[in-house]
Amino acid sequence: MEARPLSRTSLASRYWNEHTETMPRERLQALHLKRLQQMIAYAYRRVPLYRRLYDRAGFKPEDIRSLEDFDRLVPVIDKQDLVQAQQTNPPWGDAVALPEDFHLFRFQTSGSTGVPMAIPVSYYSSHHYGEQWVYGFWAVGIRPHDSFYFAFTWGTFIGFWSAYWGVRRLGATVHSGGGVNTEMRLKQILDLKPTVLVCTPTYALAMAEKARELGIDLPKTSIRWTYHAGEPGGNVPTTRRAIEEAWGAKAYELYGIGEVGAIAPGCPHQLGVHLAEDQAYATVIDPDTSRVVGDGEVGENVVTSYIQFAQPVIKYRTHDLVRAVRTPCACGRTWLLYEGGVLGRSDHMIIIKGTNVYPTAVEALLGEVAGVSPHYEIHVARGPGGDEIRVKVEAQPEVAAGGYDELRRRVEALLYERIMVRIGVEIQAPGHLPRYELKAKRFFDHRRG
Amino acid sequence: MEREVLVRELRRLRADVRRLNQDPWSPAVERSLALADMYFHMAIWQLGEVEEVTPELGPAADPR
Repeated sequence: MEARPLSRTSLASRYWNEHTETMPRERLQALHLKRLQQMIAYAYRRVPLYRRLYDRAGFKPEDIRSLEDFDRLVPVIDKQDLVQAQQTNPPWGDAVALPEDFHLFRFQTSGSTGVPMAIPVSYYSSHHYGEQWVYGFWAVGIRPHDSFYFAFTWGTFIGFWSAYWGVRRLGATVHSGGGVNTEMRLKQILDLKPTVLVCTPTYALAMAEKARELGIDLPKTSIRWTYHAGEPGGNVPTTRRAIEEAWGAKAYELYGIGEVGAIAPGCPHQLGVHLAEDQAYATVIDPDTSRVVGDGEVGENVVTSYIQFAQPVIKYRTHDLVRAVRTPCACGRTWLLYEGGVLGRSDHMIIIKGTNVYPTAVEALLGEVAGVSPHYEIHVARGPGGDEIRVKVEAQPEVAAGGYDELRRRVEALLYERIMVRIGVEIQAPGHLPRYELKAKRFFDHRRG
Repeated sequence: MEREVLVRELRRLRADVRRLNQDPWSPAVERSLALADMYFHMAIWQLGEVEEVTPELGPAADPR
């Protein structure tokens, strides 16, 4: 059989691009400065929104001479700034750097935080979005001879389109799971024998549930890796374990933000996700004070993309809560590690009697209780004493309805023991909560209105 | 090959490709050469160098 077009030397490499993945911190910082200076000059020259913003802040691109200058002088932008620009002058507004002729794709966000935002992606950007996935694929041993099954509908949500661009970059095989239901997808996996499954973590579990119904033994299928994005879960230990056990495969995740890039592929040691530092810069701030927090402290991720050429994103508030560590990782990468992936959202922050409660922490604990399924919802409401949380979670099919009360008590006790706040739990019958193919809606905030 | 030598060679190739594309032979060949330029840009970038932000605009559109 003829080999795929990569040399033996390359195939044996632990890294997709060792030069940047293991670059010493000092040199990474120097590279960041050069790319930030260039991106700011590009945006100032070509994007009216940034020119206005920077003129108002009183600096010119040439004033950014150090990373400290960047942190101090450059104002943050938020999704709302881009949405507003698009609404004022649709479809693109004055936030774009490239004319429409250069837009290869036009995506939009799900609108989960309000109005959907348009995301133009240029041809060259699409290659870089894909490249970020390849870093993750390569690190865990996926090679061009592997084949990918995409349990994805190929709609206007960028999600796994960028993973597809990654598979093209890698030179592996793509099997599309578009336009068919879960049962058909499972049958296609049996027929086509892909080695990698790409989907959201929630959907991997929904597929496993369907497979059980159909009597399909997933660990006996060809899938060796599952790769996830779109929502936390791939780095929530109990959820990851549930996926790995159901599929008999290793599960990884990539942290991506549609309008910014597939910025952080998974750590092969499953410690979290690494920021692809040749393509993006990040600082972590206190969401209330905007103060940059120290290494290892939880804060909001603020990112700058070097590869979004059509609609640049510079110092962009993601509202994702992360714990960033810059010490070299056991996997050999020097790239910043977001330990445990995305921990929650700053706009989903729940504070009960002074204690921050992260939805992913609740998810992780639910996975520790035997008899509880991975399907859950978190409802937050304003009560007389502050925020109140109620968790709805499905029981596993083998738990009889008569056992729900005992199960509820066990879940409540564990949540209280670990989080130290009272969280009400409702046990639901199997199949009662909705299933999702893309972003699962887990968090319901009833505090406003 | 030394990284610096590789970068220098890639930059030379980019210059050659752009020169060839100044007088396009056909839309098909012009597009292929533009993509070749794009991939050379990407390789230089992957070697930790800074080129213009995007080769899609051509060097003149992104002065350094």
